[in-house]
Amino acid sequence: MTTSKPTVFIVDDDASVLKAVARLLRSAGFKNALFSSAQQFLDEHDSNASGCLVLDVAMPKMNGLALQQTLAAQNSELPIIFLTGNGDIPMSVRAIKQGAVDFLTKPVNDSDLISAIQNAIETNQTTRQARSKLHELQQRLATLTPREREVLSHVVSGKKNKQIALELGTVEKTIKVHRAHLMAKLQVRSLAELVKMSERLGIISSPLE
Amino acid sequence: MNWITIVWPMMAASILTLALLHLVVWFKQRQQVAHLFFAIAALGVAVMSGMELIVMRSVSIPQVVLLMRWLHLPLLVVWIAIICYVRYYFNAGRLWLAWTACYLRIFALILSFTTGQNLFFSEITHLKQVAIFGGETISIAQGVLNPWYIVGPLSMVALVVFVVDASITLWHQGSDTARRRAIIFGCIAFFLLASVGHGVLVHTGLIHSPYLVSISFMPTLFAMSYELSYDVLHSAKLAERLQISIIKREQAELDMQTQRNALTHLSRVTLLGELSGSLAHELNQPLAAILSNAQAAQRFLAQENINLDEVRDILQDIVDEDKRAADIIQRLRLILKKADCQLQLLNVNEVVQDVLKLVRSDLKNRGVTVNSNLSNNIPVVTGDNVLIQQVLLNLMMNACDAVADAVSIEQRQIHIHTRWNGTAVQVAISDQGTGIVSDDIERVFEPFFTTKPQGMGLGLAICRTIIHSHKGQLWAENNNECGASFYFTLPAYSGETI
Repeated sequence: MTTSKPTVFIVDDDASVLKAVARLLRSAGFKNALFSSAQQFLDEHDSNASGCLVLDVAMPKMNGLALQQTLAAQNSELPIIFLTGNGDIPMSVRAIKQGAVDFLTKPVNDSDLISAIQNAIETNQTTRQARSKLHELQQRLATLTPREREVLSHVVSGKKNKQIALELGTVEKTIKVHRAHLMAKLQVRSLAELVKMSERLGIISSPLE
Repeated sequence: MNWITIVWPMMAASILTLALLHLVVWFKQRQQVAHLFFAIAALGVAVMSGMELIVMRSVSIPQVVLLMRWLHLPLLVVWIAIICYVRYYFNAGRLWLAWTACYLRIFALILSFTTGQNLFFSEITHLKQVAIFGGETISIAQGVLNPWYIVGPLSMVALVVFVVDASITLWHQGSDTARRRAIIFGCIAFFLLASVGHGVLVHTGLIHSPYLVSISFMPTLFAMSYELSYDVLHSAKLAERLQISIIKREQAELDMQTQRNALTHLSRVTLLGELSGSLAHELNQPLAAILSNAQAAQRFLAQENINLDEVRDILQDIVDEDKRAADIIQRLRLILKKADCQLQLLNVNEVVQDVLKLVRSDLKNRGVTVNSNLSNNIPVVTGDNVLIQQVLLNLMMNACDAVADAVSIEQRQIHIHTRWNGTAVQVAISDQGTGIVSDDIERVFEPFFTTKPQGMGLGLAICRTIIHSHKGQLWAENNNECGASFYFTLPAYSGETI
């Protein structure tokens, strides 16, 4: 997934601006996809693709800020760069608060736009990598039997095998076997690694939270 | 050559010139009959002076008899003309005195043909050659006086009484003009009496002098002519004053028109001021496209394998976008220009499209959409493009204000319709807002009436003035469901020159 080239999605209702920005990004070597309205973007874009979104604010029917909200509601991770002709401070504050990575005004200088896009794509890739790692861990966790999950939660809460056996009404040897199995399935070699992974998976809460 | 032969024809000629002048005036202004009567009187006097001259130079008794008989005809003409002049021009003089003078003169004419050799003499016995001033000799008839001779002087007295009576009436009117006329009449009467007295003395042979009837009428004629000319001059003065007052009035109207134009222009500029943010955006779009295109071209040109087709496309787009920006500036310049009303043939749909281009950005920013339903079957109208744009712009922005606060997208719509209503092109601009309070439906067109906190309340008043000056109507109605509609009509171009 991360190996495919990131796409820059551009949404602008002004056809000539859309075409010109697309050309600029093509000249800088970015792959891009063009949409003339927010609705068209929602209907047609590949939600799994990596990259970023360059979004105009003032558009008929659904404007850029409304699209941003809709995407947030859909848990989209696509970083948004706003590109507007007449943006004011309240509008930019609102956009940034809602998670936009940048807020640029037209006419935009090529280097500003390109560096914003590069940053956004990097952010997106980091996020996507973190998410795919988590996904992998979750898949490993899913291979555990219910008994092994039970043992895991006791182990990471710092209990000894003997205590666990007592609580689960079994012998210490059985717990040792479960413990060896779950560490193999989760591909960890030490208790410390197991605790760290459990934290990321949300089995135990982080001490910082 | 003797002086009588020179003076009498000169007198006749000058009187005829005066007659001709007043005849021309009468011909140009037929209602001024006084000029006609003057011309007739003058003609009569001229004929009389001719007859007098012949008598004074004659050596034949039958010729003198004949001339003295016929002399009463021009006298009658002069009588009637003077009486008519006084009656019509001064509107004075007793009618019975007028008739008496006339009848006596007619009677004199009849007697001249029926009794004696003429009214003056029963018989002319000889023509006496008399030496007068300057060594001249003239013929003077001598003989037995006609017993009816007195009728002539009597008719003269009747005329004098008529004229004096008229001048007394005028004097009592008291105005400067009336008094001036009364004095002139007094002079006329004096000269008439003088001529009668002189005539009697000559005919009875008591004095030897040329016949002076025609000469004594001369001052009378000059007085009459002076009075008429005074009136002509007075009219010219009045006309001049009228001209000045008309020029002043035209200037005032022009000033008012200029002020009205300035106010209309101010309202238009204010309207565009409200749109300035959106217009800047509208202009920003092509600039943004130009910059990105140009920088893309620079990057393509820096690459190893230059794609010239791409660069060519980019340059074409830059040209197109530049024209787009210029077009917006041109449209703005047109509508901001301070110009007088210039009528031209207009397709209302095209004007609507032009205005939509101006407000597009503003509507987009405020989240308002426009539904236009423009009929293709509308005739062209005559109008000022900029003024009609101003009306449309004003009505659209009002509609936009009415719906801008609405929550649902359905409500944030304005509709524009054009259609032919059978007599005129009708444009309707409807919104889905809260409508107008029914008491205010007509008041919204009054100056300084406004429902907007920052409004001046002049927009709709000016719109109505503009539409009325195009011979159309502008009115408002509340819609059945919600919101209000503004309608205006413009009559179709009827083919007359603009």
